[in-house]
Amino acid sequence: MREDWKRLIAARDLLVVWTFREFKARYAGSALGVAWAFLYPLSLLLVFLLVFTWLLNVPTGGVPAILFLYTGLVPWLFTSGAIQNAALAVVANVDLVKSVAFPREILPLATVLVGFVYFAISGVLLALLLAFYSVPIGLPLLLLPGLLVIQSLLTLAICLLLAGSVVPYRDVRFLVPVGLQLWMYLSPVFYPIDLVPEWARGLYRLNPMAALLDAYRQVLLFNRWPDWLPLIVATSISFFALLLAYAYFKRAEWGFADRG
Amino acid sequence: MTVVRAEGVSKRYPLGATASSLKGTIAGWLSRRSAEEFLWALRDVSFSVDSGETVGLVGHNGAGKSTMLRLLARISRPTTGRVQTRGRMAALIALGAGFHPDLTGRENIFLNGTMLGLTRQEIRRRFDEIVAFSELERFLDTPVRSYSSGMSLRLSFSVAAILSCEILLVDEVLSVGDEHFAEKCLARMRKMRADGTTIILASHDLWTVSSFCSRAILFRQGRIQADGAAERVVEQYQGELEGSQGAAGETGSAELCLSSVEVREAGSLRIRIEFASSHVIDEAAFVVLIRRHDGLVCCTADNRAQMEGRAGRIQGEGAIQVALDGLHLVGGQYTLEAQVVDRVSGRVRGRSGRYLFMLPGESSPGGGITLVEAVWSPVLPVAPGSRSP
Repeated sequence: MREDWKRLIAARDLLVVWTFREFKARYAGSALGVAWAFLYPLSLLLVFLLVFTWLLNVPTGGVPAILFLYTGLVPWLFTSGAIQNAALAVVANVDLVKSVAFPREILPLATVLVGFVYFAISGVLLALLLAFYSVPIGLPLLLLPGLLVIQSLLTLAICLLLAGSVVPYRDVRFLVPVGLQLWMYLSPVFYPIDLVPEWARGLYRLNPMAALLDAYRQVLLFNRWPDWLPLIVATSISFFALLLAYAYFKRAEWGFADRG
Repeated sequence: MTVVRAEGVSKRYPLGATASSLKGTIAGWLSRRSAEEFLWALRDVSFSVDSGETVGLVGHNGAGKSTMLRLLARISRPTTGRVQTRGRMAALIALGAGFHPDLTGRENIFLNGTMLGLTRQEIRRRFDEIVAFSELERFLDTPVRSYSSGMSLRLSFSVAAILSCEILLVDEVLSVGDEHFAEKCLARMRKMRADGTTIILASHDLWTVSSFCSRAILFRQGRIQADGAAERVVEQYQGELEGSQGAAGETGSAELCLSSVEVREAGSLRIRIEFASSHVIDEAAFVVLIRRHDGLVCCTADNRAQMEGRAGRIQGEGAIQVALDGLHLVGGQYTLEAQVVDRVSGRVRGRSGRYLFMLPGESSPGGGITLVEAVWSPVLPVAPGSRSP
């Protein structure tokens, strides 16, 4: 694993350039271009508002529905978007994999980085919204970078696992959207954690995404420190998942050029 | 020093789709044996390459040349055996790796360059050199989508051309593109060879292999069939090709006859070649080779450079003549042979018998094969400071 790590460090420029390529290529030819980075989460926000707030009257924990939904939606879109793209990251570039030796983890890594760029773009809008509603800010905001890191590790772990397993098991590709749906409903994206029945809450919070989304809201909307225990669990899960996923990916990658 | 070593290398590929699905895997578990079938692309291949050697890998499609290169390049891993390389390595398996049609030429240079292992700083520093080599200055900020295939080829080779590496692996790259481009690539590779780069190239272009490489390895059905001096191995392979053609009932070859060879003074030859071809050869090039008595090829000349833009189609009977001048070979016995080569495949489609001739002149007392004009003059000791500006 140390050798792999060295090779990855040596190829960091490729990671930067490849990420740029993925970013630019995504909107090439579309009329609105990069504006979609704003428009996509905004239009989803409208859908969520329409369905969950106006039609179903889902409570929003005492904060404006726009803020509540957007703080759930933006981090969720980062993870789910990166995962969707990562599942195809290796398969879509199979010609490249067959003709050039480069650290293959760059492909899923780049999808996470591209996702992170969008995350940052949506984050600017979120900051504006928070300022507009004059949400109080304080010390807990210092935790935000930490939350971003944990979420990125978790996302990367899943991306590596999927990018690596889709090559030998093409069926996995079709399970990804289903899995993401399920995960979204099991995470407090558009409802507060209080809605989960008391008896299930312990189990519910083992879901790292639940802990993360709750922590984002505590920090951003309520100026409160989050529940530490679920967050520590989420951190450990993310960290170990990443180690395992990386080891799996590096073992699987030798088959990429042969099976493609 | 050995810089590339393959030891008992075998490589198999899974055949069929059974391996690539959950169903296949589960079926494999249930039946308790592997449902997969394999194709052995390489079997127990061993060789080593010394620093500075130029090695051509030849053989039919599917003989294992490309697989071998991929293993050396660490794109793929051998099923059994070991592959070791020492030193910075660059592999040109496919030109334009990672090119994206929506990105501009400039952006794709960085993409392709970092793919090949360069850093952005290295690319930036030698950017002008890359662009000059590609002759695409005006199109740098145009998306590669609107390039012709020749243009993107040029762009991608230009990036590869600045690679400085100790080992270069090349797969069939030179067989694409126009003559001018192929010549440019070859010139660059000659320079790398002169700089001591170890070059391993897989090619169907036997002409390139025998003229560029010092050594060739012939692959056949995943095994090494011959390994030795490029000229000899290529000849063996050509013999096989012709043999198999005959066996398949093909007649595509031309009969060649050196109808007159006139040796003039001062190393000048006039050669007339008559040919009779039972089939049409669309892209024919003529080659003449002069060998020393021991078989060493002293010089070759072909008419490819003069055929730029003209189809070298031959059909039926005809004759061609060539004047060789400035032949500075030491005196002695030589043989002359003419060949007609398919420019596309590099296959020899016909060869003449060997014509034995004598070149007048002395042999050089210290050995060697060419004569040079040497003018020696004494150098007087120069007192410091008295040197004229």
